Formats: sequence, structure tokens, C-alpha cells
Amino acid sequence: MMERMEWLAKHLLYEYDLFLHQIEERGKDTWRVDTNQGAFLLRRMYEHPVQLYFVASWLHYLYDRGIRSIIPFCVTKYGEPYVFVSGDRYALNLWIEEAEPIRSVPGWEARVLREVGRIHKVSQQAGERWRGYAPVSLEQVKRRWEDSINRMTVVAEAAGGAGRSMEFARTVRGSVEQISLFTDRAMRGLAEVAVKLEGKELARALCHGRLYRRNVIVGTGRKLYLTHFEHANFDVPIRDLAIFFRRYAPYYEWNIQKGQEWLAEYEAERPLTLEERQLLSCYLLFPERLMQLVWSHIRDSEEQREEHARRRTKTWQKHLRLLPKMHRFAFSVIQK
Amino acid sequence: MKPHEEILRSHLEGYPFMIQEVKQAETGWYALTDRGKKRIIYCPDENLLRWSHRWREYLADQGVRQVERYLTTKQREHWISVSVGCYALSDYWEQDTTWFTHPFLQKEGYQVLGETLARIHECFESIEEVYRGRYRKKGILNETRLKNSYRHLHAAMKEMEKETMNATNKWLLYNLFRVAERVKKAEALYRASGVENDQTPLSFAYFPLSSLVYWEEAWYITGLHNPVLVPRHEDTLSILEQIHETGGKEGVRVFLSAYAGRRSMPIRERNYLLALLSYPLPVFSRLENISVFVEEKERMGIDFQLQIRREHLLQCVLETQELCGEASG
Repeated sequence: MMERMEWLAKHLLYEYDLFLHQIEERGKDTWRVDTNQGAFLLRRMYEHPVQLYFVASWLHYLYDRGIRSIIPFCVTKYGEPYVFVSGDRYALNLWIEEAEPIRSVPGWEARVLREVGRIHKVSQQAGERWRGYAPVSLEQVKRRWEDSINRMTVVAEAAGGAGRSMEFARTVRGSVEQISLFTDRAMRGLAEVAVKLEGKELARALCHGRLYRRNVIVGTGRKLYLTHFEHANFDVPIRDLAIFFRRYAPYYEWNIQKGQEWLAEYEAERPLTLEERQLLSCYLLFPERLMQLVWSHIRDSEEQREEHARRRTKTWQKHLRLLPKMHRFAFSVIQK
Repeated sequence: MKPHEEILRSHLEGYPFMIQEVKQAETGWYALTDRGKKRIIYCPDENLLRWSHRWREYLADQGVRQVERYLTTKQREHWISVSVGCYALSDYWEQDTTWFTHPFLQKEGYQVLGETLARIHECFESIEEVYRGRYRKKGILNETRLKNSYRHLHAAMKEMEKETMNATNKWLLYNLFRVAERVKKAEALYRASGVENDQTPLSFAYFPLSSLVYWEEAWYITGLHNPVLVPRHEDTLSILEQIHETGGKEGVRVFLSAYAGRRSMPIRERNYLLALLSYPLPVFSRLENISVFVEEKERMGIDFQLQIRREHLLQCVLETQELCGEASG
């Protein structure tokens, strides 16, 4: 397997006028390749070519405008951002050696948000130059939330059986009423925002779409690099902020002061409009983390459910406990 | 520095690498750069270069990366246009003939050739824009040639009638009658192919087998720049002849079935290929250039032999049922 990859890498690198010295597998569909011109990251990509061109074009654009926290795709000598061979697409990036885990960098969240703010600002100013994945509309968000609520109801209703796998379902059933208060409020909030925004066009920018810790590398000198832009699209920047807050604010028990600090860092680059704040607040009202647990439970096999039941129940209880705090946090976003 | 080198060097400034030296070799001009040795291609006709670029990029888009392509300039252009034509740079592989006789590679090579040629033909399927530049030629078969063939045959036969009918002359006369039959057959197939109505897309007049090279355990297509373009399948014919010479009937079958596996040949195209194979070109190549037939009697014998080889190829094409896919039914 590795022999074939080495052979393939040799021919792939030839398209960049690079000569392979060594190749090492670094995860699924990811290789570190050492060449005569240094180390590179070779990845097999699964996105549509149009999306890959979109991402590659944006990354080059941002890099040309001085944003150094992103790593553009290397371009082949024939001018392409990726190589399509034997039915697969491969992209090459400069290799950034991780100097230390991101968790050990104090205040990394604020730094990441500042970089994101910069990316949003520059791409917003540029306007939509390339077309990739479509933006997510409020109507789609509404439908997704409704689906999530329905799934939760299904899990709660199926909680009658015995066995450890039912432990989680029973916990869900026990909290459906409480959660419904929050989901109702979120749905109402979304409807209100939709009315307020009617006819108004919210600003759009390049959104990363997966703004997680694992997609940030700490290089030498604690320089941060945002990676894995393949799912990026031209959307309302709030999308990135909501994803980030949902994931990392719970670590600080939705501490309002912390949230304000993070937002301030973002806004140092790109201030939010009142409408954007309202939308962000609305997005944060919905208990997305709890719904994700329900969705994972549904997708799992019976054995997997049993295996994950305890951990999942614990996480559920933790986020359930945090719900009132999350709401206070969401409301604080509007009150600047 | 010689003026040629200086001109070339100035044209190549638009490329994203350092040109260290520009030099001429037997096979053309080359640039030594900080990213290796590159071939310099000069094409006086931009439309021809565009035609060439198109099939190369088509192959690459299909995932067939091992093909000589035109490198991009800093402005992401694939060539530089100047008043006298265009210049392009490419990576290249030295033409290779060693695999022709290699016991394992030979068959695989024929297969790759079959698939590649089918893909190249496929590339121009949906393109309506037709190249009409000066590198377009009429092709082996055309109205004038067919008419002239009968005239040449008639003259040769008349000369033969005046000769004493010994065994050799009888054999020659017999073969001339066979040649006439073949021309008739070729003419009928030619008319059925629609080539005379300009309906067949263009392709290479000649496709050297050595354009396929085996490099680092992979097959690469190299060269094929500035080709003469003729109605499609003269390239197929040229490959078939070359394969037949090195790989025999079996090689021809491998090539044809690889071609058919990728692209089903329309009946009209098959007719043209059969017309090309039926037409006794080796015989007429000589007949068209001699004034007194009887003086060339001995050499004509060799030409008849060459035509017999074509008959074998013709047989192979006829036997390859799958060539036209279901349409051949």
C-alpha cells in the first residue's frame, strides 16, 4: 500500500517539479512528503473540483493580501490547485511543523477569532469572486432545527426499553420538556430575525465552516495557522462565530466576560452589525450540542449505543446544566 | 549569445522560473532552468497549438496525467503569443523505442496506446470548432486521388498488355486487377464514411509509437507537437502498421480492443479506417511517381507484399467485433 503511495507521490510531485526523498503517512489520506524543496503535506481530497478551485482561489487571494495564517495550495506547473489522477484528487500544501499543542497556548481562542475576523474582513471587501458550496439560508437553519427537535422526540419516545443503551434515551426523555422551552425560544428568535432581515442582505465573507481546534496548527514562535478550508463557503460570517462559540464557550461555562473578550478580538478586525449580533445570539439560543448527541445516538448501531451510553449521558447532563448560562450568554451578545 | 537564443530567452521571461541557458539540440530547442530541463515549442499557428493543448488538458482532466503538457506562465497562460506565432514550454521525455520489444511491457504499451488514442478522439467529439489552418491536409484518401488511381492503373495495365505474358508478367497483371478491386472497395467505403463531406473530426496524420515512453514505472505520452492534421484515423492506421511490425496480429488486437474498451468507433469512422486499409497505398505511392511501369516491375513486387500486410490488418479490424460497440450489431 505504502509502496504504491510512494510511487504515486513521486509522479504527483513531478507535477510540481519536486523530487521525493521520503514519504510518511500522517493519518487518513494525509502524508508528509520530504522533497528536494522541503517538506509538504499531501492530501487526498473528496470535494468537488469546483469547490476545490473555490477554496484554492480564495486562499491564494487572502495570502496575496498579506494573511499569513492560512496555507495556500501549491499550484502545479500546469496551473492547477490539485492533481486529479486515477479517480482521486490530491492537493499539496507547505508542511507546517506543529511546535506545540494548541491547548498549551494561552488565549488561543481570542487569537484564532482575530485571524478569522481578518479573513472575514478581507474576503467581505473582495466580494464573491468564486463560487463554491452555497450559503446556508435561515430557512435551511429552521428546517434543520425542526428536524433536530423531531429526532429528540423520537429518541425520548423510544426510551421505554431496558438495557444500558436506553440509559441515554431515558435521560433525553427526562429533559425534553426543559429543552423544549429553549428550542421554542430559539425558533421564535429565528422567526423574529427572519422578519427583521426581510429584504436586507447580510454581509458575506469566506467562512471556514469547521472552525475547530484540530484545524489550527501552532507553528514556531506560536504562530497560528488555520487549516482544512475544504468546506469553506461564501456565507454570513456569523456561521463561523456560532460554530466556534458553541464548541469552546462550554469549556468556560459560557462565561459572559470570556465571550465578550473573544468577540472584542474578532471585532478589532471586523466589527459586527446589529443584525449580525442578533443572528449570532439567535444561533446560540438553540441547544445544538445536545441535538448533536441525539443525532449521534440515532446513527449508532445497538452495540455502539451501549458502548457510548454512559459518556453520552454524562455529556448530555453537562450541557443541560449549562443551558441557562448559554442563554444568558446568547442574550449578552446583543447587549454590547 | 546568438540572436536566436536571445530572442527565445526574452520570450521565456514570463515563466515563473530562472532560465539559465537556452540551447539547441538535434531534436529542437531546450531551456535549462532552475526547475530542470524544459522543451521549447515554437508553433507558427496559434490555433494548432490550441488544438494540441486541448487534447492534452482533456487527458489530464480525465485523470491521465502522464502526458506532455504546456507549462503555465506567471499569468497562468499556457503559451506566449508573439507576432510570428507562439512559444510554449513543456516537460518532456526522450522518445523511447525499447519497450516495443520488451516481453512484458509491449502488450501493456499497446493497451495504453489504444486507450490514449481513444481518449484523444473522444476529446474532439463535442467540439464543433474545426481547425482550418495551414497544417490541415486532405488526407490519404480524397476524390482526386481515387480518380487518379484508376488512371494510373489503366496506364500500367495498358503497358503490361504490350509485354510477353510470362509467369512474372501474368502474376503482375493479376495483382493489378486485384489492386483495382481494392480501389473500388476503398472508394465505396470512403463514400460511406462521409469524410468527403468534411464530417470527420481531425486528428494526427501520423502517430509515432515512440511517443509513448515508460518512465519510472509509468507510461507517459510525449511529443506530438505541431502535427499535420487530417481526417481522423490516419493516426489509427499509422499505429496499427507500427504495432503490426513489432507485435504482430496479437499486438494489433490488444490495441484495438483497448481502443474499443474506451470508445466505441462510429460505423462511419470504421468505414474510413477500412477504406484506408483497403486502399493499396504502398502500390500507388510508387505508381504515382513513375513514368514507365514495366521498368519498376521488380520493385512493384515489394509493394504488393506491403499491401498484403495491410490486408492482415484489415482482417484484424474486421475481426474486432467490439470496435463499434453495440452499434456494429
